[in-house]
Amino acid sequence: MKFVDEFRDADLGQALAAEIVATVEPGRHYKLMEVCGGHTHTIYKYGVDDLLPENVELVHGPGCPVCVIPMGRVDDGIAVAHEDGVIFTVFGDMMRVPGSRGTLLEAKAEGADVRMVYSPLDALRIARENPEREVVFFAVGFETTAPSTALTLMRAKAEGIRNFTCFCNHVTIVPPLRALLESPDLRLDGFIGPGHVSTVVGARPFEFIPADYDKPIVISGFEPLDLLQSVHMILRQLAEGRCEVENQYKRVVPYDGNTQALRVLEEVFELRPHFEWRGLGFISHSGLKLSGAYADYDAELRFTVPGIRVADPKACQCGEVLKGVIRPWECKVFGTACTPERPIGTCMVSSEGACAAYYNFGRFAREREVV
Amino acid sequence: MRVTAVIDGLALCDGIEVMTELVGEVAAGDELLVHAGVALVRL
Repeated sequence: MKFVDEFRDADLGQALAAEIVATVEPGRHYKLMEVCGGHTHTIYKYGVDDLLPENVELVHGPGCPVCVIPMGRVDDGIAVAHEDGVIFTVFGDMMRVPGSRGTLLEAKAEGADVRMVYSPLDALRIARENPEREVVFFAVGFETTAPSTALTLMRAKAEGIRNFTCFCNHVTIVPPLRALLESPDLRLDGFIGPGHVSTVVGARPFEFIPADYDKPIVISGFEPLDLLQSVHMILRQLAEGRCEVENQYKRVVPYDGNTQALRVLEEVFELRPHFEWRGLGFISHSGLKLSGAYADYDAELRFTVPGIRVADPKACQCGEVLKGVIRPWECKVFGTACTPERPIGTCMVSSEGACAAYYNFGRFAREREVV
Repeated sequence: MRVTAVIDGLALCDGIEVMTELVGEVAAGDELLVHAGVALVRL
């Protein structure tokens, strides 16, 4: 398959791994963060980290959209789902994310009309087919997913559909990265930049990382060779004393992003003053809400949303995992009380979550042996 | 994903409806990077 097979070539992978070994400085420890949950998934699925020298450590960032939703927003969604006449639509992963009183899947079992959708367009179709019902779409995701929500809302408005609203939980990637870089808990040497978010926003928004924090960042694709090459590009920057934004994923990511998508986002959304992130707390200007022009489609204005902040379970260490402070297997409940079948934390729910990736690709058993 | 047909302004890719406003006009046979029902990039 085009753009897939050639980026999974084992011989090329071994050659890149050898170049990485030749680039690292012996005795120096390198800590690189892959920002995107899709990267985390690839790293564990293909064993990319097994090809790296011991002194190159990959830690996982806050780029899994489901993982960063706090419990209080799940509770808010469940409250709306239980309203009379509501059809509550949501992506599949999000149905299993625990709030303080259960999940949307459990709300469905209790009688709420919760339906899984592939895209917001599916939710709009349900609204067209059920004009007597209120259809709410639980929107999550970074700038990659937000254009789909925005275009769907534009269609709803153009068609005059009045029984469709959006419970908006879209977030943006730059503010949490800045928060991580300001954190004293974490010393990072560089970033593997998010490929799909960058198809929308481009590489330019990441220029603050080298400019303000003297760290390199390489926007990366999602195949194993993409990631190996990106690691090599970061290490080469460090070896040569350079610090800049590089784009490994040029076959997909234009440096300035998708200007049409950015225009659509600007029309439909505006930044919230602050938004709560699981494990990271409140971050200024990091969440999106519907703009005034789309206020009629805002579920938070049409329904009563409790909006109560809920602390994460004490046993759950998703926050530390999302900040790269601990590895998934270092969490106290990983693989015991918290499993993909019965997750306590969000990182064990989504296929892009670091804990689920560790668990599902057999890293759990290996790491426990090392312990 | 490969476009198999274009119906009422939406591309049909592997049986899934895809919005194409961000990549311009598409035709059957085109390959698109699709996320959550919207084409982000023409490959």
